[in-house]
Amino acid sequence: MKRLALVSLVLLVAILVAGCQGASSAKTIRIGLIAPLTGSESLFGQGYKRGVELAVKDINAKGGVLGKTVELFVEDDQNDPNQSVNAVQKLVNQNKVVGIVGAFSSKCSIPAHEQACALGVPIISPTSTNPKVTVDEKGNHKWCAFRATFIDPFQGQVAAKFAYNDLGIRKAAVFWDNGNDYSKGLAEYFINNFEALGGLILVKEAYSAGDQDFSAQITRAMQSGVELIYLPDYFAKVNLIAGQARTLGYKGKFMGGDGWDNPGIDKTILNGSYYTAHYAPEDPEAAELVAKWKAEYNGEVPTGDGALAYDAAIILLNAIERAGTTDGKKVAEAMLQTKDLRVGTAVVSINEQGNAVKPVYFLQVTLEGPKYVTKVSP
Amino acid sequence: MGASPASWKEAVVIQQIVNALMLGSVYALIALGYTIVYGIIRFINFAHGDIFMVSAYIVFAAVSYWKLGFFGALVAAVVGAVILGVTIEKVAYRPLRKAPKISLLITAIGVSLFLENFVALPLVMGSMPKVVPSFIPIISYTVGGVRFTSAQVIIFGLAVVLMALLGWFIRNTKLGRAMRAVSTDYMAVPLMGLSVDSIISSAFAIGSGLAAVGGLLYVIVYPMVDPFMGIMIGTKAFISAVVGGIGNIYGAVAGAYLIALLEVLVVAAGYSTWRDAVAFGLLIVVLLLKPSGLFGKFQKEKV
Repeated sequence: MKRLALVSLVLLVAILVAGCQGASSAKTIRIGLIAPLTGSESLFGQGYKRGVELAVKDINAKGGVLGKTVELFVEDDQNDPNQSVNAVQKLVNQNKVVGIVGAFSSKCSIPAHEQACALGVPIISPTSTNPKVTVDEKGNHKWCAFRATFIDPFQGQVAAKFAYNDLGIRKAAVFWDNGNDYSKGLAEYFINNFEALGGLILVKEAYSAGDQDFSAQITRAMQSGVELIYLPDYFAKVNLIAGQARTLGYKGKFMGGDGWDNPGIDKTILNGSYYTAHYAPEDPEAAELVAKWKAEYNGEVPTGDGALAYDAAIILLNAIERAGTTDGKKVAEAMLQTKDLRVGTAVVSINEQGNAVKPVYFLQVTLEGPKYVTKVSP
Repeated sequence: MGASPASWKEAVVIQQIVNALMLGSVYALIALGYTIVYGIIRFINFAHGDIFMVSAYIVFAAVSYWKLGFFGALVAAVVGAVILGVTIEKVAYRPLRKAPKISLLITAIGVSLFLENFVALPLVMGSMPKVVPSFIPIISYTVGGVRFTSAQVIIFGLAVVLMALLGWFIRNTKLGRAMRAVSTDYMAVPLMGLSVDSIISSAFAIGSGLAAVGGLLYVIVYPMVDPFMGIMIGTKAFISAVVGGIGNIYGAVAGAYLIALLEVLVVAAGYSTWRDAVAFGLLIVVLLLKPSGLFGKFQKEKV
């Protein structure tokens, strides 16, 4: 009994101390970032970190938010949904953040956003495109969940139209990662739209994240005479599948989504392939952000993930400013009313489902890097 | 595609079998490493899949950093893997030779985790997958509607030649005979004036060398390396060895081609999400019906 009392006392003191810390540091506006800083998607995570850091720097240079300096707390989730949920808990309970930017992939963002709503803190994902990130099963907006970009139904529709009308493709194959909501969702929307246009999807194959051999699927696709293989996955897997397809003698085209938008994409194997993305560096609308980024990061051009993370942080901080408080509900309401806000890549508004209304950009892989082709507005 | 539907279908099946032969060749080269070591000291070297992974990284380095061609990469990978395999045996396993088998097994898992996470360190190779540039020209031939590429011919040819060589080596050379002797009666070998240590070292050397060739062939067809690539391939190779009857080199090869064929056919039939379930399911069925593996009773072929 004595021991129990002692433990309770220690806990009580700990809680009091922690409480005091939280109170005393309310001199700053604390926001969190959840990104895959290590692991196989770490290149995306590094882009996220740079984007949010740049946004925080910009806002602080202009006097911060609600007259206070913005302070950033970063958590690594290794693109693992369990770790994303833990990261939300840690950021909210320990770091006392009032808003979160994250997570990267939809499979992480869906549970992370649910956790954030449960803890009463608004959260915005820069590039998770699966609809379920911001809406529940019935299609109603989860009050705290937002994203800085378009959703996959739109991306899949625009991609299918481009393949059918602009590339003249009639027969295609689609391979996707069954364990990733992003890959699965985008594949589904591409297939539905392409078939609705009158095209044929002759091979539809799911794989699991650990698969390394795709020869059997590729052979089936080749034998059925497809002209295009649509690969809605991240660049590392895309490089592997496309490389195998070329080795097996596939001569047709490849096409993909925003998961390709990374310097890690294999420019030799995928040279000439088109993909949809969140932004294009050559788009005049993004010129100011590109210039700022170059000045900050040794002349580098922002990656799609980095640019969108910048946008997401700006949307969140702007909403806190307009709400006039850090109360989660009020900030989320303000965020939902975001209208014609100038962010890094465009001027955006947030619609009733918590999504940014913004165009899909078409880029082409070339040996010199991504080339801007066109953009399609909703 | 001018061929009639019937022959066209046949061509698809043959094409898929060609794919299975490639995958099976990689599994077989790695499975041999498990089976040789098991045959001699009754120990499953769980770090073997990671020796394969390190060899694939050596090939990657040889091709992208040192600009070596096929033979340069082959020599670098084999030499690197042999040194690694023998060193692991010397440093981690030899001191435990007389310890209970379970200690050895846990050490092997430790070595495996060490290799994976060492390679994944940012200062070593990092955890990002890396693309291996193509280093052999890919020419394709069409025979009766079935496409072959030079890569497939090299992979299958090299694997078969090496496996035949290994079989000959075990049967006809002095060292091969010594290995069989250790396998049959561990205690009697020193009485014949042979060094058990050097025989075990050479088993690790041969196994690692074969894994290195497997790594090289692997990156020709699957041009990507990552620190954890050895786990799944290693597991598949290991179950190939068990299905074939661990300790038996012909069994390991047969098991490898069997597993690969099954996997490719499952995917070809349109059930790609079932591929691992079917591969491991086969293992369970074989273990239930014939625990010694398909070729397990050929004791005299044990290495």
